[in-house]
Amino acid sequence: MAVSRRNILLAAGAAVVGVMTYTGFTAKPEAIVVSILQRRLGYLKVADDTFQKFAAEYILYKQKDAKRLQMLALIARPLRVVTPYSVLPQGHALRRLENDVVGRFLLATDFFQNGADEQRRLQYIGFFDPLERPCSNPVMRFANMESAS
Amino acid sequence: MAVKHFDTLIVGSGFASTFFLHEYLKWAPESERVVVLERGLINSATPGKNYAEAKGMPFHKTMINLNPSKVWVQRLGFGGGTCWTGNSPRMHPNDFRTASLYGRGDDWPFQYSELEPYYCDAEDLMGISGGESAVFPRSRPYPLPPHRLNGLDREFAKKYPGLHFAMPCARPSAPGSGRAVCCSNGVCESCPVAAKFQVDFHMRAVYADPRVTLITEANVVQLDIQNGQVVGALYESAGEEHRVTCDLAAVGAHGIMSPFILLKSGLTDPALGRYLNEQIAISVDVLLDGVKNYDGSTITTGYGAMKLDGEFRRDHPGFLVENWNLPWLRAERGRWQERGYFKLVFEELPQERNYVAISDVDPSKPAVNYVDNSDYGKTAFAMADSFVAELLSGMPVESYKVEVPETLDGEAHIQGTTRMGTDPATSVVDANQIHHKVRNLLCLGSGVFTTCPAANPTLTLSALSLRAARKLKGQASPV
Ligand SMILES: Cc1cc2nc3c(=O)[nH]c(=O)nc-3n(C[C@H](O)[C@H](O)[C@H](O)COP(=O)(O)OP(=O)(O)OC[C@H]3O[C@@H](n4cnc5c(N)ncnc54)[C@H](O)[C@@H]3O)c2cc1C
Ligand code: SF4
Repeated sequence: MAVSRRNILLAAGAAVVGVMTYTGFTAKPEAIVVSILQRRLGYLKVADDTFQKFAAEYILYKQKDAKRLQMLALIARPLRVVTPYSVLPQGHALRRLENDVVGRFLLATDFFQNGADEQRRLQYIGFFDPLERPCSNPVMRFANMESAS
Repeated sequence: MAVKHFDTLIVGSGFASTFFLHEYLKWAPESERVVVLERGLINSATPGKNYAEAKGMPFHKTMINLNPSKVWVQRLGFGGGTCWTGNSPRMHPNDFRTASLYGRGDDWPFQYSELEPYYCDAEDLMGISGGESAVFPRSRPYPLPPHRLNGLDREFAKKYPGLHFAMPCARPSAPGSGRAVCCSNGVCESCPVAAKFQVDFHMRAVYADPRVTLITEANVVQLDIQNGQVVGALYESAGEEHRVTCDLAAVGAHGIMSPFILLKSGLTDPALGRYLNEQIAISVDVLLDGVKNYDGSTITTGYGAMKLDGEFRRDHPGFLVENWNLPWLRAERGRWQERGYFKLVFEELPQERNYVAISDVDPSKPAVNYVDNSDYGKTAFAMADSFVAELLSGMPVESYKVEVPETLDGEAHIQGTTRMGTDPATSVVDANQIHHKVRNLLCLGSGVFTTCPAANPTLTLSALSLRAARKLKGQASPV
């Protein structure tokens, strides 16, 4: 059988689909969470396993979205390096995901309690779920408190 | 089984019924016997996750929704809508006379000044946090001080002096109500620290009164009406039918079930079940420029009255601004808190074509047919972009996104269907919430609202219940 240009393209396409499907089945949804955190907050001083730990809790919390997150894990590697965040429209699902992951991570640490100081070593307190851990919103201020710095 | 007689029968144990009962007992003799029939269960779990998980009966299964594009949400159980958020603004004084002032809707059968002292009483009972405002004249201060505004609120307040202030709410801003101070958890549907006022937690004493018999898991099917008088009720419990007899009945089973029970009882008022309505809303996600947000002290911190009332209501609906304080951060370094979220909640015009009826398919359930919003209401969506652009112009805003619902959606406020008015052709009850023809029958709850103001309904319907009980007992208004 002659190897035509068309067949090469078809084979290449099939290979890409195959690899993606394989990765889709084997990828861990935690990967996308860790990638986002590494790119966005990689400069913060945190214990080695903190992002992983948070990612596991995040996926547990977002069980309903686990399939979608697993599919997104396909782009976990490139997302470590670059994100289309700033060119995507406000409200785009990927922007929402990045905001949610980063926001929930910071709320789960002592970052805001300590004045959002990037130089301080961060302590992981626990996943931000007010039903499990009430009165732990670090950015709120009671009526009789001074303004946030 | 022997049929028990009670002086008074109350259907439901939500805000409407419990505030009525609370006031009624003040003026009732020691010998009075009241039965409260409540369809749902008592949620006896402790506040927090377990309480949240004990959801009870799924509301949507209790009705046939003929237009699923419209969503109806409520909780069935002792205490009624315990899942409410607790926002408790009053109606604007001009909401009571939109027909006279703006040629829209109908006038209520009384004015703001008539309800004002009852608003104060309801606010005291709920321990409302709020501040003075010229928009809502008041004869007494709120029991608790206002909540702290957040960064975005402060910008609105700068731009609209006197028209943007703390959202009055049933979430304590300070000690003094006997409940925990709200710590802005943002999960008010089951507040884990029991800070938010709830009937099931904070008004249990009413049900401990020896004159009251509470029967839960009692699904009222119909009232027995003979010779133009309610004489009793039929209810189902554990698959069996039961009856009680009574001299007076007050139905507070919310705006879908109350008219259904009355229809099942054979009442045929032209307005019964009709004019089903609720507010319509759009939301705005805003990226701020140099403003640190989310530093307020509760879930919804700000209330904007800048477009609540005015001559413009002739052409398009007024709206309130509801500013949220949930910490929805942004992913950009150093700008984590420079984001905000608020809603514009619009008034609507109740329409006869939106109704609750007895389902043809399953007559044991109400058929709910919300056909569409009014043309007046739809201008809210058509003009959403220009409203938001005007609100945010000149403010430190980087960009924003207006979210207009693609479906009819829902605001979790069920109103209309047992309307209050003077004309029996367009209303079901009179100014004292007594049925036009069956004079020992009262309807309670936001079903009696004559119009659909922008304000959340629970404070108003609770104040109305206090008023209805006092009027019934021939008592003067509170001072
Ligand atoms: C998520 C959510 C958030 C909300 N937030 C706010 C807010 O911030 N501010 C605000 O003002 N409002 C809010 N609301 C609306 C508020 O919950 C209602 O206005 C309020 O509960 C109405 O009180 P009610 O007593 O008339 O009716 P309900 O509270 O619904 O009580 C009716 C009672 O009747 C019972 N019942 C029904 N049918 C029968 C029957 N056949 N036989 C016997 N008993 C029956 C029910 O079980 C229930 O206990 C919210 C609602 C929801 C769902
Ligand atoms: S904001 Fe939090 S503390 Fe306040 S009432 Fe809601 S859940 Fe309770």
